[in-house]
Amino acid sequence: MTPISRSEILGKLGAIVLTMLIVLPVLAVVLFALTSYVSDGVVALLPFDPQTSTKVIFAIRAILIALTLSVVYFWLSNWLNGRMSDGNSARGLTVQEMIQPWLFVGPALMLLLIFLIYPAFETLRLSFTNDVPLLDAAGMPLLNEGGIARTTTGFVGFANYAFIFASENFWLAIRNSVLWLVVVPTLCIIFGMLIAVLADTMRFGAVAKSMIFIPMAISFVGAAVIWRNIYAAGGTETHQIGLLNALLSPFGVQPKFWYEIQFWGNFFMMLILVWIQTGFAMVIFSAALRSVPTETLEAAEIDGATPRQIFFRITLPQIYSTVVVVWTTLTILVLKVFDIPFALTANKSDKLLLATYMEQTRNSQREPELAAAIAIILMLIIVPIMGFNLWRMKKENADA
Amino acid sequence: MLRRSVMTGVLMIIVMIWVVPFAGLLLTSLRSTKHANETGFWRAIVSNEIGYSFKTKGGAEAVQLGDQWVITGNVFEERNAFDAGLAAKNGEPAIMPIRGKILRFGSGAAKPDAVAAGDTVEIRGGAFSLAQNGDYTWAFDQEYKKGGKTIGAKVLHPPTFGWRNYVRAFQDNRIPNALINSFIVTIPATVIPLMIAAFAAYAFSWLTFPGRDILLAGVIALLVVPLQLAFIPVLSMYAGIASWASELQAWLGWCSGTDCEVPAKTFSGLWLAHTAFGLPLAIYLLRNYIAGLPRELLESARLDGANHLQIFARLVLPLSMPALASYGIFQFLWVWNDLLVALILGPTSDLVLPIEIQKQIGTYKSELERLNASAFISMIVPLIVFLSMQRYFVRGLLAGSVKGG
Repeated sequence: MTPISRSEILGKLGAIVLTMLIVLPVLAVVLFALTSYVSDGVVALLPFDPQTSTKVIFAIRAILIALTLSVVYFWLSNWLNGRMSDGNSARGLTVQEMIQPWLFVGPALMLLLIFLIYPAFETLRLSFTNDVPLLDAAGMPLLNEGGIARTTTGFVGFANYAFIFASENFWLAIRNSVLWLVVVPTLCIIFGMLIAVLADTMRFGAVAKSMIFIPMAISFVGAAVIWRNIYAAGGTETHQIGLLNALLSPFGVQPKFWYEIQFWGNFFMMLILVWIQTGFAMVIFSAALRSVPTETLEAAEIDGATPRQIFFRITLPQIYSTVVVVWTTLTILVLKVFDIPFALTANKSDKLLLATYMEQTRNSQREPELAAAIAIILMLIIVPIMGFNLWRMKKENADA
Repeated sequence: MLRRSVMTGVLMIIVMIWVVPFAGLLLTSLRSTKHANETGFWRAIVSNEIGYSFKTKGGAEAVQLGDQWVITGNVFEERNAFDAGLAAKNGEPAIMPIRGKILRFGSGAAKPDAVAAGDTVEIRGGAFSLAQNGDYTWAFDQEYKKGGKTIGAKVLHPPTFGWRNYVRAFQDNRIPNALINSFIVTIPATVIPLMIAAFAAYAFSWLTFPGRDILLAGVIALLVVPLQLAFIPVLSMYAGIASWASELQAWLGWCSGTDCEVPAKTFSGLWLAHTAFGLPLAIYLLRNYIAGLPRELLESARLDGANHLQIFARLVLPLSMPALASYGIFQFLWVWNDLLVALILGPTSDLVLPIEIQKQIGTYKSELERLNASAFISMIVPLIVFLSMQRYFVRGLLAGSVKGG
């Protein structure tokens, strides 16, 4: 039996990958051409107007083709692997066994490489570049016909970061992000814990929990519309259409759009996220509370501990690690919040967050290099939080 | 006992805070424009005083009674007939008719509170009276030849609800289009990562290959990477592919001029991006589950001569259904509700629901009933998915969070 060399594995793997790279695109084109004959006939059968029908049919075709290609990949690569090495000999089987894992993890690793790993490094590189003047051989700036210096993209060191740190909007975004980071997870945890504790003791609790859980299903934009009905100003002289203004106007409060007011408007937007995410904290805490052994609680009760003492001295320390997990998860979520301020205030600088600030820089100001630097800063803030979480998890596993 | 009722009370209040905004959305979406934009949603279930202006009939329809010329009619019937005709002409769905009790009225649209219903005011030399039920008489001593007059009135309007805003949302093609687009984006962006991640998770749990543990740790570490880090390079990658494809098309001679331009932001681009962005969590969740399947089962299948694809398809996939369902609903909700990725990488002409709703927040500032109807339509699908599969969703949350990550 000849020994299995690395080049044999790589060669066979390469052959399979190459086949896939040829077969899958060709198959896609063929399927697309074939289905176009069918689709024209089907369009007439649908109950929509022709334009909508065409679109629906196109979508169904695209979905079916995408799924077919995925299935064909796994089936065909497996089949090729089986044909390339003799499955009846131990050696052939071993070769197959060595190739197989890569065929299974291949698509996932490929996608992660193209859409996350490479872009992360590219963004990092981009954040150190910007427009620099084009120089001639003597080191003098080259001018175009209008007498304006010509530019090219080049390495600028930390200039982008310096520019961002000097910009007022960045510090507003940081201020607001910090406020969100403090307020949203804290309120979610307090409400979530309160509801979990209260709901577990009463019959009405299960209904209450499912009501509070429902906002998890809807989009942030949808939630923004929902809360607009509460925060909005407007209506007639006698009636306000926003619930908050209607409740407060008898006390002489001027009607206003509550999420638009300077500085404090941020807090009204935070409440929307609290409304959405409390259900998450509640569900996790509910499960954690049930895992606290009842014997300890009963023993404490017999010893005369008050419910408050039992909660703070016995229950809370036992589920402390769960609280930390919820806190980290919410923190990372809050750092990426984009939709709520975007939908309600369309990037007013007083309401900027890191994510909206980045999108504003990228899209409205057309400064991808600066936006890249902001993304890197965002990353640098998230990593320590996540690292802390992982470190704590590892420590816990070691203790257990 | 007191303690218990306080606790119940607190919980009730919290539940109210959670439910009332939802009720507001639903109620507003079922009201008429005037009601939704003049009174708050909490007033939808009671009668409201609403100011209306009505146009009376003119001199051409006056009838001579003795020495008087009298115009009679009913403001509600005439206005509703007129509005219904207008809606029919514009191809809009049936109106929600105005009804109720006239409280006060006056001789012009700006004077709805002048006199009480049943009283008489002088309009253009005639005596005009309007009864509570909307019947009016306008009596002149000599012949009246001019046209009708607009009068203002405060109407005590009983609660009215209707499907009109939903019918309108579906007649206007933006919401149906966005609904279709959301399905186009969400279905493949849920199924493809599920399939790819399941294969990868199987390999990571049950196959041995060099570097397996490091690769797995690397994949899970990618959970940390904010998507913002990916947007700029992925977008320029798509732009590059699009311009290359445009040139290829032009070179092949399939098209001419602007027809050759391939858009950079496409549905397929969005699928791939969502697939990749969802993979770290998918692999993490599925590997946790698949690694816990009974070893004997998989080994005995292997001894029976089944290859890995067969084991995967016949054993692992059916046994992992709960985990697949958990992740599937996560990804479905995330993609369906996503605004940011669709905004940056999605097609600019075919908008998905969150973007469409975000735009309508601006355009329907004074037609809140339409904005709310659109928003509710955008929530129906995720709510159905969520409520029918809540068990799996909770399981996924617990697997992702209590164990860590």
